Order: sequence, then C-alpha cells, then structure tokens
Amino acid sequence: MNISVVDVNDVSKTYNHGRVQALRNVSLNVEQAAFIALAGPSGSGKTTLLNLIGALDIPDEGSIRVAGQSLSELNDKQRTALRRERIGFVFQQFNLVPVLTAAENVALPLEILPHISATERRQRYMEILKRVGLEGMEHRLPTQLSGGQQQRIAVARALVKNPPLVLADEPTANLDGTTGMAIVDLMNQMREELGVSFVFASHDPRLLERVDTVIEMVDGCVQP
Amino acid sequence: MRTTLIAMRLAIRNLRRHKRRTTLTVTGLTLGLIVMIVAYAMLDGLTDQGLDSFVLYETAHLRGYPPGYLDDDIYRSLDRLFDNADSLSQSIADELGVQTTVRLNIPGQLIVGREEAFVEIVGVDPIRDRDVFATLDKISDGEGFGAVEGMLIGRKLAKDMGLAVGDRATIFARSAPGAYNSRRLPVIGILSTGNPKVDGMSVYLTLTDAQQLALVENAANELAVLSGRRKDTDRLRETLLENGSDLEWQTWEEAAGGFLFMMQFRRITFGVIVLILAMIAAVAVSNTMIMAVHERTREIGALRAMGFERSMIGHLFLFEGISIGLISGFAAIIIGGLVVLWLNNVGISIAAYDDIQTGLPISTAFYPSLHLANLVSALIFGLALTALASLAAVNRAQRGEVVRALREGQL
Repeated sequence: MNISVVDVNDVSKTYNHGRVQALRNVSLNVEQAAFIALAGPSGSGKTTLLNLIGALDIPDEGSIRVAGQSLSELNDKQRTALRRERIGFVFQQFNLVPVLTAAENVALPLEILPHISATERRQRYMEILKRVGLEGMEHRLPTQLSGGQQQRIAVARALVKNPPLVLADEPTANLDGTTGMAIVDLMNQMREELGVSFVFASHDPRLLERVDTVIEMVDGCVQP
Repeated sequence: MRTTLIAMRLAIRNLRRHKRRTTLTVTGLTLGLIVMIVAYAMLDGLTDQGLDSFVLYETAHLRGYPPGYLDDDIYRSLDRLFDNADSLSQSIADELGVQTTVRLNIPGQLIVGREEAFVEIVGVDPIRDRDVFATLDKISDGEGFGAVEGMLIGRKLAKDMGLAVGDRATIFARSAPGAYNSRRLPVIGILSTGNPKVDGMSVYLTLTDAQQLALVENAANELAVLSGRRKDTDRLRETLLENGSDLEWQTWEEAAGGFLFMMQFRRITFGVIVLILAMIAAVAVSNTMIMAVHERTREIGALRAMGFERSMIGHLFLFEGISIGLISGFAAIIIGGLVVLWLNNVGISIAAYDDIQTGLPISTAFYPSLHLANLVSALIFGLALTALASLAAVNRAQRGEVVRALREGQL
C-alpha cells in the first residue's frame, strides 16, 4: 500500500492583497519515497507550492496534510515544530551557516531536537557525511568548500534528522552541470536507501530527466 | 539550555567573523565604560578624601557648641562660650570612652606690615588636640607648640603674607568683653594639611594664648569628639543628649553638608553626561546589530525553515549584543581599574587651582578611589546597554517572515 507523505487539496494562494494569484486550486499527492519535480517557468508557482508544503507559508484556500498532519490546524509554533522534526530543506543558495564547520552545519538540526544525546548526534552526522561523500571534510568551513560540496552539506543537513520529506528549491541552479547532476543522483540514492520523499522545484531539464514524476505548472495551475 | 548554548556559540563566532566591526564597537563601548569607571573613581576619591579632610582638620566626628552658637554670625563667636572647658572635655571622654578636645575659635586679622588678612584664630590644646585632629601633625616647616611661644599658620596664608618661620606678625581680634586686643608673636611653624581652610585662612595658638587674646579664662566655644567609627556619630550624639549635655551638637555629616551636596550634584551632572554617552553608544551598538541582521537575512530564513523558533533567532542576536557588552565590560574593568590604580598611586594635582575657590576641602592633590561597586556597575551598565541596544535588531530578526527572508533576503 502506498503511504501519502503530502496531500495537497484544492489549494489557492494570492499575494499583494489578492492582486497576484500565485496558485489556483492546486491538488497534489506525494507518496513515500517519491522523487517528484515541480516544473515550469519563473512565476508559475513552483516555489510558492513548495513553501506551502514546507509549512513556511499558509494557503488562502484549500488544505495541506504533511506526514499526516493538517497544516491549517497548526499555529506558527506547531508549524515550526513540524519543520524541525519532519521536513528537510535544500536551497538554491545552500544557505549554510558560514561560521559553523561542515559537521556543525549538518549537526545543527539535531541540536534543536530534544532527546538526542551528543553521542547519537555525532554518530548520525558522521554517518550522513560519509553517505554524501564528505568524510574527512567535517572541520572545514563552508567558504573552504566548493559549491558542489556545500550543496552536499545542505543535503546532509536536510537528511540528518531522518525526515519523511525533503523539499529542494532549485538545488542545481548554482552548480555546474556535472556537479548539479551528481547532487541529484546523490539525492536519488538517499531516496532509495532511506525511503525519503523528495520534491523539487526546478526548471533544470537535466534534473527533470532524472525524477520519477514531473508536475508541470503554468500560471499557478497544475497542468493535466 | 541546548538552544541557549547554540545561540551563544553562534554569537561568539559571528563576532569573531566580523573582527573589524566588532573591534570598533567594542573599542568605542570600552572607552565609554573606562571614562565612566575613572570619572566615578575620581568623584569617589574626591568625596572620600574630602570627608577625611573635614574630619581630620575641621569637624572631627562631632562638635559641641554653646546653644545658639551655630545660628550666630561668625564674628560673634566669642559671645557664646562654655566655662570649665577642660573638665567638661575630660568628663565626656571618660564617660563615653572617646577622644575629646576643646578649641577656642576667634575671628580676627593677621597683620604683617601693611598687609592684613582676615583669619580664623584657633586656640588648641597642644596635647589633646592631637588625639582628635591631625592638624598639629602636619607641620612642614618649623616646629609645633613647645617651649617657644608663637603661632602656627597655614602654608598658603604664609605664602600670601610673605611669612616664614621666625618672622613676627600681629594678630588682632575683638575680645569677649568687646574691646579689641592684639598680640605680636613669631611664626614657629608652617602647616601643610591640604585643607584649604587650614592652609589658607587659619592661625593656630595654644589654647592659653588664645584665651589671653580673647580675655577669657578656661573657656572655649568648641568641644570636638572623635569616636571609634564615623558611622557611630548619630548614636554618640543621642547618648550625649540623653546624658543631659546642654551643648548644641553638630555631626561631621551636617558640617560637611554643603560639600556632600556639591559632590552629589556633580555625581548627578556626570550621570547625565554618562546617559548621553550611553545613548550614543547604544545607537552604535544598535546599528551594528541591525547590520548583522540585514547581512544574515537568508541565514535567518534557513534557520527558521530548519525549525528554529522565533525566540531562538532572537536569542542569537541578543547574545551577540550582550557579548559585545560583556567583552567591553571586562576590558573596561581591567583597563579602567589599572588607570585608577595608577592615578591612585601618583595622584591628580590640583595645586594649580590653589588661588581659586574650588569649594573642595582639598587643595594639593587627590587620589581616585577604586571601589568594586563601580567596576561591577560598569559591567552591568555595559550589559544592560548592549541588551537594550540589541532589542531593535532582535525584534527585526524574529519578526520577519521565512518565505520573504529566503526569497528576497529581506525581513
């Protein structure tokens, strides 16, 4: 039986007091271990949908369930807790904390989770660093790493808390072609090994070739 | 607790990352706090030394006068006297276990050739006065009362009148019966106490010589008391009044009221200056912190997306601000403390103001006092200032929306 990780139902979103319609009646289902991309031109609503699924924003209409929890029933604190425990994020600009080493960046999501001992924390971040191929680089600062290595750190940071869902907004946009595809392959490998669902927002054709499902978006609507 | 540690770690590392900015902010704040420490040490030094000067040379701890004496014009000080001064002084000393002495204060003039100066002629008991006052121990030239009859005069008065040890001068005053009387005596010693009143306008005679000048016998108009501790003075006065003393008693604190008021006024004035400096420093710290928030907007967005609470984000910047205060506070304590210790060792000369009425009971030099309370206050002040100055940045950092922070790099 397929388990639904994300269930988006008839969601709409406007900005600028209703003047900009970002999403119109979007429905979407993401199953466990899915590898899905939201595609479309700039302004099509990919990132808005990703933000809504990631509990970073609130829809004007419709409902979203993530990992069994209805986002509309959660307040700001509870949405934060959901992100902390159940969702990993990968950003276009990596957004690593520049004053922390690679290992500290990866360990950061674990540090704000309760009931994880220092030993377990170390075990988990070392394991994930090994998985993303950055063993031996744990003491380097982000500025001492290449773009590809930084994005690997970002992927490791998203995965270290074993979330059921990782959302990646244009993860290859700041990387050259080879490095970008290596990152996508890495995430695909993680999906297979850990059973994590990945949802991308991207218009990178090479990434779109590698995902299981591509959902086309135009003017805030999902194309059939 | 763990999130607090994360916030502290990030705060320290971010301060180290922006070394130049941190150094500038910390330097500015440290200098401000050093000024605060040194200035309050100077005020404390002046106050402490001023009060010591009052007690040692003018007021003792408690002084008794004939009733109405303190309300009278100073030129009528011989109108109110108490008899049997020696026995009264001795009985109080025996009764209360304190040091006592009597003095006869006479307003008069010192005349040398055509020069004349209004002075206070003070008749003192050469032996007992030393138990209460330090004046007779401060002879810088010549000698004290002994075999040779004569007068002791203050350093500045001697300079102004062109007098040296061995020179003769005339003292002239109205006697108790009303007739004017004068005596021509040699200067046997020069007093250098650092107290402007003693050094600049006082002539000391033995009590016997002063009584002869005032044409009184065994009478005085001041009974000075020195108790074990300065703070026991009020209780001592109560005991004296309970025991039936009919003298009018004035404590050192009352006598130094004008000086204490002046020092309090200076403290308040300086407090206002400190507040103005603090506001400037607060603007600088606030600016630094707001810049930090602006520069790290995407980082804030990423942390919020990762699950950092708004309050955790606020703590990051609050700790960063407080760390600036903490570093500045400790630096100011060390540097300011050393500056005060050095000044305490070498002193700050005010001899150049010898001819100016400063209102201070000190005329040569003063020594700033290093009080632990001032150092702790500077640290707390620095912490409170930076915490308050960080609030705008904290509010901005934790108020912003994640989506906007990530997409536009704005909060």
